[in-house]
Amino acid sequence: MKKRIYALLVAVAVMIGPFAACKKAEKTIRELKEKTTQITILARNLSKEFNDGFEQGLIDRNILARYDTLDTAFGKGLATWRQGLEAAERTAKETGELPAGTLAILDKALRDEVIKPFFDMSVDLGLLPFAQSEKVRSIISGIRLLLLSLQSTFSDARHMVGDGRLIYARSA
Amino acid sequence: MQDLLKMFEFARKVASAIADGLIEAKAVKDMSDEQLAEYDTAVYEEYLAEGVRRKRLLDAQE
Repeated sequence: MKKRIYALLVAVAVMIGPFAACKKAEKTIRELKEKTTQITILARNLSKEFNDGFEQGLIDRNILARYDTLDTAFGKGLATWRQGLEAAERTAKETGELPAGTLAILDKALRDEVIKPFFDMSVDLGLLPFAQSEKVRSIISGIRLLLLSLQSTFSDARHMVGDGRLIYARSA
Repeated sequence: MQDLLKMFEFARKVASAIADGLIEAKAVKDMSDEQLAEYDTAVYEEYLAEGVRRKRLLDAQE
């Protein structure tokens, strides 16, 4: 009796396993895309405020130029990351898999191209006179948390995958 | 004094923009995959447009 129950549980796990993995890969890609969009929203709003602030005479050219240097570096990294994520999603949809190697490449791109430049930018912004208020500092911390959350999504996926791969459901 | 007031005003606007962005960012979770893709493209183009605008503002001041 025990053996039958055990065999049944193994059979169910074998059947459900791939579907669960499919869901995990889709969920991971979806989370990464959501967080990328969220970061882009904040970056757009920050850029708009600096431009508007300059036009309204609230900040001078030096500050706008400093922000330009920081955001240009961040923008390049964001473009690289977005391209990498799109490529990974295409590969996953075509092949039905998200290999550990692909996750590793994306993880590195995320750290080097997005997180580090944005952290550098938030540190520099924090040093500017306008950012000395508690409110602005706490919001810049919020942006950092968003980036760390993105990184943690990756860590979860990579931890689950190990040396294997995430199975991705093929589109109907 | 004027400079200080300007700085505070700018800080307020930046904080408001980021707060608005965080609210907007929450809405992303409720979107379908297709809606998210369209919205993401639109937001990214707006981000790039602000970069172009910034370069023009800096070039005009040189």
